[in-house]
Amino acid sequence: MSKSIFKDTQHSNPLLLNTNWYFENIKYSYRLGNKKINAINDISFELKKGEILFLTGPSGAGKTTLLKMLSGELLPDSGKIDPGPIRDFYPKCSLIYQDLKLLEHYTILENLEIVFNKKTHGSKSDFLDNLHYIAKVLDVYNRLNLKIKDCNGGLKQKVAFMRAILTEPDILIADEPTCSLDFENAHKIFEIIELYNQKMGMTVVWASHNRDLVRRFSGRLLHIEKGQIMFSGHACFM
Amino acid sequence: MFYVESFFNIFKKQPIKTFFVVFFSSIFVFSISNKTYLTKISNSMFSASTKSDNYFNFLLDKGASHQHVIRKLRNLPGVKKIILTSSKELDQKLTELKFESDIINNYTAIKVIFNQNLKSTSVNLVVNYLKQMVRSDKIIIGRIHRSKISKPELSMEFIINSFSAIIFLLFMIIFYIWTVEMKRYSFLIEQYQNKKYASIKISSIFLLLILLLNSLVFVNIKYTSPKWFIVSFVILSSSTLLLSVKNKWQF
Repeated sequence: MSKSIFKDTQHSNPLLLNTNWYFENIKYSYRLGNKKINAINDISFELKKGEILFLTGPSGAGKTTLLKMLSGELLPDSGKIDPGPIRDFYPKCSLIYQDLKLLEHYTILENLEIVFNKKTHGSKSDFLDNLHYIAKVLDVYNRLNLKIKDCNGGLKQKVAFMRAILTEPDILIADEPTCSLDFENAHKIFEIIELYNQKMGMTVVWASHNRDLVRRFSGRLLHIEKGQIMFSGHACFM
Repeated sequence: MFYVESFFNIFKKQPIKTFFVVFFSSIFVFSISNKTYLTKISNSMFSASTKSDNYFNFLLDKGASHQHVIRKLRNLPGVKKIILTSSKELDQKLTELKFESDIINNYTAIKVIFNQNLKSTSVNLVVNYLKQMVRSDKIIIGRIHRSKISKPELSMEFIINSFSAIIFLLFMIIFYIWTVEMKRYSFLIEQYQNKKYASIKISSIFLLLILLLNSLVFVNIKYTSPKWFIVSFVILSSSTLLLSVKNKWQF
């Protein structure tokens, strides 16, 4: 990994460097027609600063809802998030959305350049060095001028991942970031995440319905079904 | 500078839409703030044939002093012009009207033209004054020809107002379409660069551009009304910012 990536590493809120997040008795429900659906049903867990946390579970288990609460997009009906939604404390919190949210008429490079910020990246050339390095690792370098509308699902996911990681976040929240990728590419992505985690202490919350995939990586795993935690422990023990 | 760059990035990606957004908004501001100028131009183009003044003709017995009468009338407020009709012209008119030609020998024909938009009560006052000044057996007063200009002016103003409303509607539609991409772009800036109110700031850059473009017109056209310029710009700004305020990733 190029040295320049971590040379200016700074936490957006150094006072909260060692803060853990506590989710206590979180409940959330929504209405579908006349039916009330309990998306999250009394969940309590702790998110440690600098850890990699996998959220697994089948579709509709409540993973995305929980991620939205983490980011502050949704507020729980009851229960407590202590000290509060992560985004309020760490503005450098990056999200990888399930629907990716890429600009279809822009090229891959243009989509990535949107995150360039002088305060974070210093010069544009440093930013581009990082971008090119990650693009080479993920085999995107030769396709930087391709428009998103012409990319396949896997490539789009790589771009969404690159965009999130290029912001050099304190916390990365990813909703199914590798669902369209094969194991080899998913592994590459995870290697980059692990590197950022080790070098920068980046906290990662990664939702995936693929338990077999996350089991191969190091990190803590929360398995959710029907809005409740069914397993909590090291990923390899699941 | 960041938001100026962002605006031009969006402009580069959707040049036709951006062009129409700028075009319709400029036309809207122009049409509202130069309403008087446009009405004037339109009238000269479309209603030149209907343009006429209020006037009336009268025949004055040659026994009365027409110079005295003309001098008195000329001093009255609202009287624009007094024309002494030549004998040749009078003869022609009388032939057309099948009058006896000996009138030419006994009467002097005078035409009194009033200022435009003079109220009919004021016109009647002038006629009454004339009746009192000259004995009734020495004068024949023709009917008062009313100006036809006020009606076309009103309708032209209505047409220009309707035109402005249509342009505004078109602007709103095209701007709404334009904001979809702009809001997505702003959403990403806010999410990944920790910036706030990005779409409002980008829209403000657009408004500044419109202000600049229209100010250039404002300087060059003396008829631009500052009051209506401000009103049109306030309408444009409030609707633009209202459409930009909800920053969501929408389809």
